[in-house]
Amino acid sequence: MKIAVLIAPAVHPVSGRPCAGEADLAALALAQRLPGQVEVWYAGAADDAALADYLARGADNIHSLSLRPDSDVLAALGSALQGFDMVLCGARSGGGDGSGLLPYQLAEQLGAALLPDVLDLSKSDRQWRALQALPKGVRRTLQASLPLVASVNPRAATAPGWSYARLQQGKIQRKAATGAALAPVVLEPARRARALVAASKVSGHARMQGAIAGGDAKAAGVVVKQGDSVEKAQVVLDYLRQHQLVDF
Amino acid sequence: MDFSTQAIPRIDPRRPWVLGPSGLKRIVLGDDSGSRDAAMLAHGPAHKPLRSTGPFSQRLLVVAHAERGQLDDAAREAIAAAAILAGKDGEVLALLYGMEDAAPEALAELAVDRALTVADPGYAPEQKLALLQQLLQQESPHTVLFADRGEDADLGRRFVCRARLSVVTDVVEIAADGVRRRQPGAGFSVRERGQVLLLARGVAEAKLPFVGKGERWQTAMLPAVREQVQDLGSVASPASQLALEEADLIVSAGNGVSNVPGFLKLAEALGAAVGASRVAVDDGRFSRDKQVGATGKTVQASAYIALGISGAVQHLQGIKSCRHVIAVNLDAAAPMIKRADLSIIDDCQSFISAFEQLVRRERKEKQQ
Repeated sequence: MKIAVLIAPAVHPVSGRPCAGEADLAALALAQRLPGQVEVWYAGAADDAALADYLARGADNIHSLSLRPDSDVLAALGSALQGFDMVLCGARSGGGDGSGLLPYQLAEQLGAALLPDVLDLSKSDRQWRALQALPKGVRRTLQASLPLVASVNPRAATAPGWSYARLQQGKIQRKAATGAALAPVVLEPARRARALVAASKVSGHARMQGAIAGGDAKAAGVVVKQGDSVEKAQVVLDYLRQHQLVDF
Repeated sequence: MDFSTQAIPRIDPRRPWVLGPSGLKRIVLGDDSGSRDAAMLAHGPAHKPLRSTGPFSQRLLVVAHAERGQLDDAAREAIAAAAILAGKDGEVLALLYGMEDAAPEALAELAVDRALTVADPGYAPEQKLALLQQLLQQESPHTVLFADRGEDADLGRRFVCRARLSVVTDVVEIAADGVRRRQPGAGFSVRERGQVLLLARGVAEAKLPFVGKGERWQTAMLPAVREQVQDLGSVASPASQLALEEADLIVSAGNGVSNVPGFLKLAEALGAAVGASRVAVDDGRFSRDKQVGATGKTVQASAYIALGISGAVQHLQGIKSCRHVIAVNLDAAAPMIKRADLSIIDDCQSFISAFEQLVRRERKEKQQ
């Protein structure tokens, strides 16, 4: 089985320098746990130094498709990954656009099954089972057959620590590639985002009334003072049941 | 001077008035029908005007998944954004999963003009995609909006890749000159408004001064399409075994809880994760990783039961995104009571033991 792991340098949140992305490292570590031949791929404009962290943390050979800075990586990656059975990548890259779209686009282009936000992969008969992380601690098991594209949750696996020896032994193989030009993007310094607010045509009196009453729907909570503790406990349980917050 | 012989022209200071279509007060002289009690009305249910009566020439579509029959704040904000962007001739369509029971008033309150409600089939991305593509052809909305979190984000990304539409994800601001998103390591990036927008939290104010038409289209069935990926079921691990940030049900103790073993027994009976306020953690009653609040953890539980917590601002920050907050406190004037959806004014010790017994009894009855 041929497994491709997609990596991309992330932006370090404090220093701003390129570093290895957490989710991509988890994808690499998860792939190395699976039976099969693992190849590590990168497409984009980053130089070798930006990818060095991945060499030091377990990738022994990185195939890098060099593209111009403002070109789309999808076409180049799509043709390079044609023969692979499984493509693993981080759910969201910490650099570039970080839009989380690439696994979806790749699955569509390769005609592969898509398994988003995967915590674990295991084989059962001819199919593969993935444990998917959902919000609020829910875990879903999905089953699909090859070929598949899986985006990996940062908590799926832990990559080995940074090692200078691995950094020295690792190699990056560069290959030139081309991609469609992306729409130009204007960058701005970050500031507080302004929310869309509907223009309101209420009178000044109504505004003042709103200010006095608080105006918020949240202010209208129910306060229970009457009764003993047993009755009050029943009120709480009724509330939990009414909103389907408990399963008994 | 004798005033009683002369007719004094008096003007009633509380003349009857009616609310005009623009939402302004209108006084009709000589008319004695209409609203008289202005002060009472201001505190009563607010009368909101209709956003637009139509006719509509263009449409916006919002897709949202409800959780337990209710939309969360992110989905509400997405609908609000659509309603604000729509303008007079724009209609707000909504495709809502898991809201078949919603009343038309509730839909109107969300500012939806026409809603297609579908029973949530669970994991069925291919079927949902097929329905969305049908809608795209039938209604040809100029913009489709999703909240960029959870299932909506997943469906939105699948949709743009399948239908090959232009998209901007993680939109934090929609302005006249384009949309802004956060670019990793580079502040904001400004782009043209795509056909599909995936909206981050806080992109629009969910409180709207108008309502939508709230019409219900028919309740649609999902088209029968074969799924590429099979769902083998999902497991929710008990909240007590989860990290606080992930837990769906949290019981939290503050200074008012002196009987910690009793409190832990309640958490175990309820299957809830354990949290604590800073005072309780500083006292050594709980470990530091249980602390909820500005210096501790920010939680996103559906239900947060605060026992003996007065509700300092820093604590309320930590529970900002909790849907249902239940407070138990002796002090009816505590800030937590103002935040809570249900408040019980009682002593925590007696409440905890009563509640634990009740929960154990009800659980036992359920099992039999």
